[in-house]
Amino acid sequence: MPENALQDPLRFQRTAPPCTLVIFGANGDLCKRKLMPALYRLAYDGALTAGFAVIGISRTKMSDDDFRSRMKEAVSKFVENSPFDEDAWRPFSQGLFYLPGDTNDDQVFRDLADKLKEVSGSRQTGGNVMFYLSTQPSQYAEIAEGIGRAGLATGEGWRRIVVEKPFGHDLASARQLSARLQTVFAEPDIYRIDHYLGKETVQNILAFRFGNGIFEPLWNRRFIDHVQITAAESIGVEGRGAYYQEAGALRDMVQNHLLQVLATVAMEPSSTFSSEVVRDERAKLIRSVRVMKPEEVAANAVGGQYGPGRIAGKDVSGFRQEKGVDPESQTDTYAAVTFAVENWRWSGVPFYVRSGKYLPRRVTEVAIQFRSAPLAVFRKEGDGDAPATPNLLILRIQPEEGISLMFSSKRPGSGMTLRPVSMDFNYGGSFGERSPSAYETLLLDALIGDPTLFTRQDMVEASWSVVQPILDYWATQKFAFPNYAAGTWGPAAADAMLARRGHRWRHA
Amino acid sequence: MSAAEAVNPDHILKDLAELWTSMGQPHSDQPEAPEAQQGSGVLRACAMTLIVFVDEEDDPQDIGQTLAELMRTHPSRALVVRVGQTDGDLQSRVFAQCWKPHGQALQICCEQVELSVSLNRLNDAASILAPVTAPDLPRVVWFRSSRLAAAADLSHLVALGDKIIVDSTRPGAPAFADLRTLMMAGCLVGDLAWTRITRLRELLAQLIGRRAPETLTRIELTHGGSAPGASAKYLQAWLRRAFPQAAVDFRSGAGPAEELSAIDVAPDLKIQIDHGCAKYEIGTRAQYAKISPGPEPRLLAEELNIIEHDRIFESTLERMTPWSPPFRIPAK
Repeated sequence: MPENALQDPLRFQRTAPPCTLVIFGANGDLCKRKLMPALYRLAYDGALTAGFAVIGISRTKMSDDDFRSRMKEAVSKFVENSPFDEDAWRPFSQGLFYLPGDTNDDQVFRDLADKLKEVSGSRQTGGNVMFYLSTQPSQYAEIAEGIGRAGLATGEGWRRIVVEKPFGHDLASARQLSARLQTVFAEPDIYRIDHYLGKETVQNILAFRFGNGIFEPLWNRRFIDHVQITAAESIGVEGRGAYYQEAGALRDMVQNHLLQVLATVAMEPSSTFSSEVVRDERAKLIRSVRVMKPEEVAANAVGGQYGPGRIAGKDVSGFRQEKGVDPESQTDTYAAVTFAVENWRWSGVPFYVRSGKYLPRRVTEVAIQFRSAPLAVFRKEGDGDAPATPNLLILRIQPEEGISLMFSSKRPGSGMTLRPVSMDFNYGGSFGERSPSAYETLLLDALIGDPTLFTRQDMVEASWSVVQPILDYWATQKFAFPNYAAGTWGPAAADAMLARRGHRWRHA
Repeated sequence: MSAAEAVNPDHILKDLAELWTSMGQPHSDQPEAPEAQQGSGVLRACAMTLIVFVDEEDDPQDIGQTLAELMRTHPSRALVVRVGQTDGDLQSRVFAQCWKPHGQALQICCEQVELSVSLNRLNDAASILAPVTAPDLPRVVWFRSSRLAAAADLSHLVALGDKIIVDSTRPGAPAFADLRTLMMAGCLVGDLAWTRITRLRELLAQLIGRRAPETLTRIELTHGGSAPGASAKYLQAWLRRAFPQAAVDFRSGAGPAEELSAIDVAPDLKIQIDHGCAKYEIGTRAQYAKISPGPEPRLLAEELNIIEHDRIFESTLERMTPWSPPFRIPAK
């Protein structure tokens, strides 16, 4: 494509080129709650060109107008931090089309070919097509192969495919899925979404680390004692018990989202901010995470499952009492792992990662604890051998996104009494602008063809390699679940895991 | 809020310090506020110094509203200079503008200093303003006052800022040649007449930006009134810069004076502009795009986002006027 002679990157917002987005599973929850509201917001912000079109596919029979009407209802209900604007919806909705069909039947792909031709002509999309698989993961490979058989993976313009996590349910299935996708699409045209990487605050970790000169010299084993990464949810499985029972916290959160966050926190600076260079560094970091031997798992990984408890004055049932869940289920609704990053920068620094359901509050954050001052010169009689209060840097991902630095300050008055204080940067307070949702960011990136925030095959395989020994070991165990009550901070064994190294969880 | 009778930088800075001390105190009407809330309800935010020159008779509410909206995206120490015609003493006052983000307990506040000065004491004002700017942060000067056109020398005021913002559509604005002089002297320059056409330029970039240059031979810009306005002139220069082989000419036609009402790109694209909306056709279908520049605070916000050399604006400005030696605004 020729250069745009009128481009003004300093002032123009990034705009998706004309194209058709084909959404498989268009009548599903993800499309209604996330994709369509994100697309609407992009259109509202002028980030989609006038010819942009969507073809929704699902088994439900409905007309284009029915589809538009359902999507309008969904967008007005689920659009984030933004009012619904009828004037913005109207032109956007003219680009929405629908095709009923069963992806097990090749006829739907032949119908899709006709529809694409028609839409491409009327909307002048230049033949560009992005396929989005918003379906059950078990259908990913079959749909991609159906696209291939119908000859839709190539043609006039570019072709891309977007797949949602999970990318396999273990290392072997992840490899198999990648192999099948790659028979149809080249790896650079496969966009694996990990929506955590689309969060503004996760991206801000890169800005914080590599846009400021003062932190990076401290960002290593000499100054950092340990790192805690927490993704706590205050809700349970919310009716998704049957699905969750097959996944568990380790697969659902740690293998993908939290290892990506860990990689963002710990990766080496990239020489440029080009997509492949950044992804190379992320992949390199994940490959540096020590793969545990079976005999190391028990000491470094703790699984948990919530039992009945009381939250906000209400009784809640345990996981095994959830609808669709086996009363003897061994699924982990909580996982805590001590990862070791084996490179010169991080050798000896434990990375504690935990995620769980029905914890006391919703919080996702990275807490970096620095080593204490070598000499506690302000220690007083009676303080014993307690070290000086260590500095703590908190990168808050959600809610109240921001950064806090805890340090000691002299308490006003006579005498030298120190008290920890917090220096806070509040993302929302300093930037009054609305932050785009993760899906807005990632959809626009995929449409533009920027894969920086998407997960590459080698990253997926590396992260499965890291958690596979834990999954294998846990599969051989029979746990005495439930081992934590809903509304508490997880099993005691997770506290003990840190205590063995002289550490303790924040919020414990 | 406080008033200072003798205006000098030390007094202004002292007033500012007292302002923040008083804002940090618990309110007397809330003596039993929990300890955690006392004194923690206000966040002082400042990312730059914004110096605004306005005419004495300009509506204070109007400029106040603009600054209040700007502070959400560009919290600043705002120094508002009201320029009067008649001689008189310099006067100043300091106060804070605050807002509370949705759902948060913390108020975010920016400080504002207002200075009243007569036209013939502008240099005195500059000597007061310079020490009052927030250290180590960008300084932006917005010349909104039409009265400055009558000033003998603006060099002291220009020297206050890292970036100078003007609006060539306003009466008394500096000539393009003056802006170019500033630019040649290394000053960052912004012109709201240029900012107003960002959305229109964006649309043109989408529609014709990737066309092969040899296919673009003639572009006609239709404007209302007898002469094109500053924004239209910028658009012409920008198109000529990108497509030097094309004839880009003006035509007088219907529509509000000086404003663009249509753009014809031979042979197949015609854009009609009406009330901030562009209508054009793709294939057989009519398309509409909002190109409304938005209100003044939005234009300002775009300029405040760019505290660096804007090469496209600068090269466009270069094409608009032959370089002339400095005359009214000496080099920095």
